[in-house]
Amino acid sequence: MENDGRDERPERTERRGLIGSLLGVPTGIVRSVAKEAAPAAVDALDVNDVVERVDIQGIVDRVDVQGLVDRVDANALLSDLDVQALIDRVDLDTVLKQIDFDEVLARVDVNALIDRIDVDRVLDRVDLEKVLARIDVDAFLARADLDEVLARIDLNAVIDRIDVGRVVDKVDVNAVIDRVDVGRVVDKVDVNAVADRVAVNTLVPRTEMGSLMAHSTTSVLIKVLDFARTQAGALDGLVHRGADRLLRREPGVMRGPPLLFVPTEPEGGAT
Amino acid sequence: MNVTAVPGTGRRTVPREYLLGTYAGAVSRLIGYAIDIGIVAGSFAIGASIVEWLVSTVFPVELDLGDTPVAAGIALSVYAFVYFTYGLATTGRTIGKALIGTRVVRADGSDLRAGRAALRVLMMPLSFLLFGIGLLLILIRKDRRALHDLIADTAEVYYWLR
Repeated sequence: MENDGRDERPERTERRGLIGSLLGVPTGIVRSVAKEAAPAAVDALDVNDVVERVDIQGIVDRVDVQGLVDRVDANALLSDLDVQALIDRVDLDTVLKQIDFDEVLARVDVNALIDRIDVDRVLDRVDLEKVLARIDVDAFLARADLDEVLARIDLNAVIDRIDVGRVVDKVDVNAVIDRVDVGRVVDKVDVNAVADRVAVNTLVPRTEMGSLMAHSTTSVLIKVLDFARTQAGALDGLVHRGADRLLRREPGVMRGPPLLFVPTEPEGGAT
Repeated sequence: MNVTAVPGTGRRTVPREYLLGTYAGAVSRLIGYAIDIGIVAGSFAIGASIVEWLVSTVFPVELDLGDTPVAAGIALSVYAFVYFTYGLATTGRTIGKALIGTRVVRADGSDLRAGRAALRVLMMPLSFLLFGIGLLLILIRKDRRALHDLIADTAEVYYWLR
């Protein structure tokens, strides 16, 4: 975990007035007490018990979420916070169950919030696998109106800003997929609407679509030709067997021109 | 000769995977021939239309090959002769034969040359005369060679492997 910067904050040494000096002493005392006592107090606190006793939805309803979001320097806040430690201590499923995400998301300008956050830096500091392991992903997905969220997010802009490779490296993708009911997720998403918003023209050149199509077309043509030749060969056999019967001669096929065949070995020999 | 040699098995019925190099049957040969006739007729019609349009555009005359059936017939015959001869002389196959998987070789299995290819093409009409008796030889003879094959000392063999 990188340094959070709090220990290296320089002491204020500038000159202050009388009132400043008077206020400075108690403030210093409070800060030192908070510095010493806060960790112990936080450790003693049963966060989950508190979470269960609080009507989070009620609080959320009363808060001007957008105003709050606008006033917060998200990057500064996140840099001071030990996000992983906080996440470790909270029962995420309980919190998620108590929040009406659709309502919260409806009140937030998601794109503005995303624009203000250094997403890569946050992702670097979170152990995604631990977080994902603790969340009932299906239940969460069942409650969220994914279409609504996706419709409001500029997906291409988000993708441009995320180092997807680094995120994927940190996640055991197979384990996540095993836990997701993909059918239900897909049912909830208007795939056509998402596809319309993705710049397909930039994606196609990165695939080997041309060679893939050529390969499959060639493969189909070869199969058709093979089928036609096989059928014609079978009809040849039928017609010539009939001719042999009409001519009252022993049925059979001559091998062909002699130069096309290597000297034969005794029957049952190597081929 | 690029044909991969397949050992003879001595069996009475040749398995399909050993059709390569054996004498091609009447149905395969007929289908290949029909494809070739279609290609010759189609490409000649398209070519004739282009020639008519070019002549009418460049010169102050209205050319219609339908008005000169003899000239059109000669042109078609020459075109068909070139089409068949060129294919047989270079690869032993025409487009129709390549699609159906047959190839023309000399009776001993060696490559066909231009002179023999031309002779075979010129003799082909003979096989169609007298109610196609020349073609019936394909069914009568064990080596499945038609009259024009006998005259030109050629044979048609399967040239594909499953």
